[in-house]
Amino acid sequence: MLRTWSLLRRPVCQLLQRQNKSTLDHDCVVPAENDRMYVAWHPERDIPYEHTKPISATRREITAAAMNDSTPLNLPKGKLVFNNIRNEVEYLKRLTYTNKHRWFTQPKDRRLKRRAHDRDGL
Amino acid sequence: MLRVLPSVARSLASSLSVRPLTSKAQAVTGEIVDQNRESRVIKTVLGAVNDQIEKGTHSRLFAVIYLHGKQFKVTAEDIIAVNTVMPVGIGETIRLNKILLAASTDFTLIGRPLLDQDLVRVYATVIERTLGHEYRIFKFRQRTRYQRSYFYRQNYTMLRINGIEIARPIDQ
Repeated sequence: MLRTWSLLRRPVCQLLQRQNKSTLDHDCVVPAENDRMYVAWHPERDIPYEHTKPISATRREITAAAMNDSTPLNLPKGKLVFNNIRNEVEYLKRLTYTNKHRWFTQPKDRRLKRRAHDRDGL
Repeated sequence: MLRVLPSVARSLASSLSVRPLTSKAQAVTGEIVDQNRESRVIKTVLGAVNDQIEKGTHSRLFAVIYLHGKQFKVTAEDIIAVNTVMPVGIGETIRLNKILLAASTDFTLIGRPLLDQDLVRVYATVIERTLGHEYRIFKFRQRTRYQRSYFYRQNYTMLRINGIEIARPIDQ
């Protein structure tokens, strides 16, 4: 994005000048200090509490939506137990729309095993 | 008749040709344009930002700093682990002067690529110089009984960010 701004010598604002709105109600990017810097203005806006809540949907609606989405897999209710690794791979493959090679361990995966750091922050 | 090589002809033509009218030049219409709108928008935005800077009403600042080939997003009281040995003692304070970006809730200062050193200041204190975890490098050759293990640990310098401040208003 900065690359496209390299020739920017004028302010760029969100769809400016709507009715009864001042410049400061919009997000804006302006050049400053002899074009050696950009100043972006993005005032914090309050999001209504109702918008932060989960969408209200019943179990039936969710199931119907899942059916419509043509999910090729019925998610089981209980804990999954696989007797054979091939079944597990088949499950993962269909769940993630990938091929089987993604899920069988390769020698390189064993080599890349991460070692736990001895302290936080590293 | 004089025959001219095609390449020479092309270069002659390009040197003689008149620049064609662009679509932009043709599209001149009688539209009313506010000549001062751009400068007014710049002035309004910078005024609002400077107002917050002067009164100190902006929220906690964060900055993106460039240190030892890496970028860190820091804010006051952060601890960062820099993968190097720094020639500073423990407890000494340093100033990180390559600042790519400094921002608060309402505004962001974006450098091209760096911000002015007088404008934004970021200070950090060296709190620890330690080593990371141990790496083992194992070398092995088949059928020769050659086996070697080498161990090494990387150096880390832990910095505590003391604070970020904007020293002066913008464009002043």
